[in-house]
Amino acid sequence: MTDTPATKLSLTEALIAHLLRESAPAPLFGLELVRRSSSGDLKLKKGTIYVTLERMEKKGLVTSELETSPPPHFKEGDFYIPRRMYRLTPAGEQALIALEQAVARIPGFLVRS
Amino acid sequence: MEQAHLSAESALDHLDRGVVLFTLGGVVFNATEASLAGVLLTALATLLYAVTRNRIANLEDFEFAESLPSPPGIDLGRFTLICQWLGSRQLFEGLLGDLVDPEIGGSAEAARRHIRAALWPALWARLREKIQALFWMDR
Repeated sequence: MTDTPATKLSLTEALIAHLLRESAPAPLFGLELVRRSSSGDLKLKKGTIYVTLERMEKKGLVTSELETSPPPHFKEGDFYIPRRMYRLTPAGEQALIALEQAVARIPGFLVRS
Repeated sequence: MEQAHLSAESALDHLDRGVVLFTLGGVVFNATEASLAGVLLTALATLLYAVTRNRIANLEDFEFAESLPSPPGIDLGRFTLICQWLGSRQLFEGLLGDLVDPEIGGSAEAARRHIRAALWPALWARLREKIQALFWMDR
């Protein structure tokens, strides 16, 4: 059996992968990812989140599907388009683990302020 | 079907690389001739190519948009066109899907602000991604 090297993640991709892993098995939509990232040091932006998610899906790091029913707050007559819900794939999880292991190998004096 | 789509995309990538090379050559040549008009015309021709190429490549992906009702405060036709230019269906679905949120889609003004604020960074992100892909920097 040959081990395929894990895909390298950018910081934004790593944050998305981390948030998706935290919420698993529940999927998340883009705006929810932006909101959940707002409490950390690294924040996701509304303008680039979908471009990043699309790229991650092309790389096989996340998978997506359209939601099947409107959210509870939806009222008849409101504008509605099904939101795309994202989940981390095993390849995405493997890439995140590989990144975490690489970070753990960095000597402490380099990462401490 | 998926395979055909991928090979068409790969062929278009080669075409894009050719266009980028011609553009660079055209810009350098016109710059050495001190022709600002030549440089601008070359850049304009490339921009027109890029926009039209993305529109054609994404026509099918956006067919469903014709049946959607226009959300309050958003010109759906124009927004669809911009997302086709950017070549991103997920951006289209994502930003319109955000309008389901009462904070964002609650008023026409808030919806318009949300879309405007998101489109510029999306444009730069797509441009950066495209350049990286054209020069094989995304591997």
